Amino acid sequence: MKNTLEYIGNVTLFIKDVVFTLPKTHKSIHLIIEQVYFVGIGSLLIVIVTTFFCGAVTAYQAAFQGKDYLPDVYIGMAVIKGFMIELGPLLTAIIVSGRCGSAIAAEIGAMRITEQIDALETLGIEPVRYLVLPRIVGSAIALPLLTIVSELSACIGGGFCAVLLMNIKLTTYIEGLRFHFMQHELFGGLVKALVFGILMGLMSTYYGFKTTGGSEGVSKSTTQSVVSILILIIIFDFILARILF
Amino acid sequence: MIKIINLTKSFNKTPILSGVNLEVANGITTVIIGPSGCGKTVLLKHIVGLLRPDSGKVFVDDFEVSSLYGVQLFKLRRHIGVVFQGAALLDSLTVAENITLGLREQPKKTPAAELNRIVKEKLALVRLEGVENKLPSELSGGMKKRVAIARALAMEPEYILYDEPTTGLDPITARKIDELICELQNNLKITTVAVTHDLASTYKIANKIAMLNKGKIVFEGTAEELKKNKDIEIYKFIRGREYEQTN
Repeated sequence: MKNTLEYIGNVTLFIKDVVFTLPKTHKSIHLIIEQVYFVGIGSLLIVIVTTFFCGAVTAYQAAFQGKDYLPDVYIGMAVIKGFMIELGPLLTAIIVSGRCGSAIAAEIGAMRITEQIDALETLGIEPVRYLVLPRIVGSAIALPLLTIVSELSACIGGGFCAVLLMNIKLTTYIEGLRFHFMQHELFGGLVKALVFGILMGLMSTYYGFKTTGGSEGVSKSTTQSVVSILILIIIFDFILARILF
Repeated sequence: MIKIINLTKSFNKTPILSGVNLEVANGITTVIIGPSGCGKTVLLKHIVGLLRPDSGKVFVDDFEVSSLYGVQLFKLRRHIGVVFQGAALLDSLTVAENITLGLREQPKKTPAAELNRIVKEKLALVRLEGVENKLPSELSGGMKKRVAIARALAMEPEYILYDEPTTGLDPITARKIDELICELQNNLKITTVAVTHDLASTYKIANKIAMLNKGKIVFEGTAEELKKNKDIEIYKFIRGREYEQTN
């Protein structure tokens, strides 16, 4: 119980430091651009490939499960509803957390144990402004953009599967996508992605900052950061689903 | 002047510093020696405000470091250059970017041409030209130390603190770093504080030596006074063996 309270207290103090540094965001624009590139462009290929096949699986399962009693137009619906509301932001956040959340925690953890963060402080640079803020803002910008790409990729993957494997007309599939496309659902999914991006940036930098004890400490904080990010993403996915839809 | 008054610090209820008193005079090199784990680095980190004392005070000029926070503390730190034990260069930045990091992140922007001039000047001071575009991973241990010194000097500090400047270096490179520290101190007249357990280095660079043992300063004086001291702990430390009655 004491440890849990201490953990919550430490995270809260860390968030407070981040919030107080927010007015200095303009000083870190070049660092934010680097992070958007690292999280966004760096994750593009893995997100496209993964969601393409997830879209294909969704279309395949929708066609298979609804065979004989659901019209073909509902295959497009299954893909677009599934990905815009749920799978798009969730899958993207999980993939990016595995790739970038762990990397951020390990990088900052290594900087902590090799005194690079102390060196920043002695040079008169606030580590939260220089290291934490760009990673949180960069993730918060990149995640919604990646989510849009993932949703497009899933729709294309679903289309390939429907047309090439299930012999469904392309026009029927596209009609299903268009008919069930709702702007507010797209917006809701992007809000989720934004929150997931903030969570990923926050928790990965938090664990990186708290690293102690050499290379074993880096490994431990990397693992802890990914586990906590995934748990928080799932919890916030539920909370946001209740609020937004 | 740096003045440390009755400084105490514990980690997990283990006392590391138990009432340290020390004065560091301006314009000379003061070396703090002591066995591994005696709290030398902890003491150094208090001077620059990276650690806060449990009790006691640390003054740099007229500022009490432990009472400063935020912008005031960052302003004070700009007058103090620190060379860390492992050099602590940022892995993702080139040598030139590391040297100018502090200047580039200041509110007042320095023109690129001026930054280039500073990089060349500071690398020349540490006798390491032509490595501006290399990454820290491409440098040897001695070169990293030189770059770390150049980075500390780029801020034009009034004080420079060295944490184990020769640890991890071969004897020849270590002596070259000693010569560099002496040269910089003689030429730039920067008040220098070094912590080390390397006695060869200490005798080479120190104007004044302070020995830290069991959380307290147990000796202050010159190298000659240290060598003549008959205290058992000091004897053991400087000779690396047990006290012999015949001596």
